[in-house]
Amino acid sequence: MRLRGLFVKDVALMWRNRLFAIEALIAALMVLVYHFALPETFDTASTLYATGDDALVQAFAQAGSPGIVVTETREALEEAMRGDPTSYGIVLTMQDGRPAVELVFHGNEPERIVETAMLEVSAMLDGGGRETAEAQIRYVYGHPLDHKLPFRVTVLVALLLTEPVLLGFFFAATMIFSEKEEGTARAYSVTPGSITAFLGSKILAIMLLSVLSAVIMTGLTVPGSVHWGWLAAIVVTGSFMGSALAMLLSAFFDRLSAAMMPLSVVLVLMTLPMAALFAPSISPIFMRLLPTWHQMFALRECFFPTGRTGVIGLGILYPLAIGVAAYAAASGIFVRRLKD
Amino acid sequence: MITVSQLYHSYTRDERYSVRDVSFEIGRGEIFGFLGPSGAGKSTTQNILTGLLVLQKGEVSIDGVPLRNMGSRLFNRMGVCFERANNYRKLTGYENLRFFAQMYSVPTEDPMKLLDSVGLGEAAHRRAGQYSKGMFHRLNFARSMINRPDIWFLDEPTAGLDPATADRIKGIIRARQQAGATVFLTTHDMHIADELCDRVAFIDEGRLVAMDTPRALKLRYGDRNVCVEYVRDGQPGRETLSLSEDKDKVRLREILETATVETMHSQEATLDRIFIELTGKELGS
Ligand SMILES: Nc1ncnc2c1ncn2[C@@H]1O[C@H](COP(=O)(O)OP(=O)(O)O)[C@@H](O)[C@H]1O
Ligand SMILES: [Mg+2]
Repeated sequence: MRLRGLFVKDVALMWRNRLFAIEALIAALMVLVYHFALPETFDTASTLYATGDDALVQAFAQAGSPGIVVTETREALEEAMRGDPTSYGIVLTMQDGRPAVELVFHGNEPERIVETAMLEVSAMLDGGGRETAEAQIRYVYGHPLDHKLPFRVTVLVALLLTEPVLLGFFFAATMIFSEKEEGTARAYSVTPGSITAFLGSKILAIMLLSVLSAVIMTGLTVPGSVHWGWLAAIVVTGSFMGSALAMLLSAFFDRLSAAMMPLSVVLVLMTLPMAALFAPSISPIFMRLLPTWHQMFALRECFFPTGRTGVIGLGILYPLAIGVAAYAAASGIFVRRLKD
Repeated sequence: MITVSQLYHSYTRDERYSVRDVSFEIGRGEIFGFLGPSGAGKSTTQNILTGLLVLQKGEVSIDGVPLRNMGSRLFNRMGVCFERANNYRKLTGYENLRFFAQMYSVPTEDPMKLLDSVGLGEAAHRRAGQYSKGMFHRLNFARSMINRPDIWFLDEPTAGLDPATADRIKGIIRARQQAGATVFLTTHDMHIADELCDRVAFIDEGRLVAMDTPRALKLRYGDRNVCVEYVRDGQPGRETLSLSEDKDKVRLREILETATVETMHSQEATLDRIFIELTGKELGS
């Protein structure tokens, strides 16, 4: 009864403070960007992994564009590709005195990309004046995703991380400071209601908003091929972590203007791992420690399954653990500070 | 019912006390007035009693149970009206009361009836942010009785209200007292203290300077005054003179002998004057 009362109040306040409208507007903008402003592919950023006959690979790497990364073995090549969905691979071997080419794709690339890649590769090899054997094509994962474009999916992952998950971070702070500044938090603290319920209902309200917005954004971009259950779990735990962290920070300040700086620093820190989505070579240890790093790869796994459920598990459980800790700490601190 | 002994509070946690050595007892069903100028420590005391400030030093108990051991049960029987009105501006008056009603685990008042009783029936479905200052204040006052409190804390409940609204609020406070509520009323307005309170405590710079029924205070400290209006040499004059000061008695005799007195009536001492006598300060605003 009490929690329901709090939840209804918080949703009403969010609605009337136009938080739903803001969320919807941003989601709509992102969907528009996705459909109209993004290039279909992002060739320049996709890495080409190469392996095989040393001499051939050397020559190929020198002739080719700077995006070529040489790996020791075929296994290493496939492993590297698994962690980098916009990449493709090439295996060069000598067969009967002629170079043989095997192209490795993920299986979700559109026809055109595959054709372009083959043309490029033969052009490079022809430049070396050699006659090549017929190229073979292999797919690493073998379950194509109805020709969805990897770059767009990558962007969608970034959008899903920023829009519903991290915006919840600011919404939670806004809601806490509005209660502090209106003095309603003081009014609540002379009722029998607990601080855990007071904060928990806001977290639930923000979760609702996050899930709605994630579903709408995904539905309007890449419907069908998504693992909705995992997606929902990642968004829910991510939103929980975001709002609990924001509440913990808000506990130390009296007004939003004073909390803006620390809130922004944490937000920027949390978004840093996104760089790794677009440039896989960026992966310093500190980024791997951030929960958003794991959420990001878990989200990508929802759209672009590589069968690594551990990635999804970590992307759900790690933020959940941080969220629980932040929520407990925030409750403890608010018990003492909300009143002043 | 409420026992406070040797209460101290320092916001800076040092020797600069905003409340020092305050002790008093409030009986069941009593309206206890806490009277003092702005900054005297009234709100600080109320905030300690309602658990909003930590109890640093001293003892507070309710029905013999120390405040520290009361837990959140106490809040079910306590009502608090804050000095600074605090309602959700984006919720309607009705929604504000309905929300707070849901926070209690005891029977609560019907929000609509409560709004009617403070004259907000018509405005029930308007957002509190659109209310005038007085309406906003009344909503706050109404909220403080949503759980039918038997311990009711009111911090300046009539401050800034027009006389008609203030009267209405005084009426409600009296009615609640009849129904058995114990009231702790903080104010710097001696009229409301005089009219409503069974007992008043004067507080100045964090210290209690006097405590008794308004009548006993007037008898003990107050001096009776006379107000004379007279005409002398064609000029009208008006003076208020004390009946216990020799200087004033001489002056009064002189007026009676040399001027034509038009009206003369005795005045009872006011709490205001007693406060000035005790502290050298006006209760003022
Ligand atoms: N939050 C606070 N921090 C520091 N000092 C405060 C605070 N609130 C009140 N004070 C000081 O404590 C004294 C008593 O204030 P208060 O209890 O609000 O007085 P009153 O309610 O009688 O007007 C004042 O000197 C005031 O400046
Ligand atoms: Mg005050």
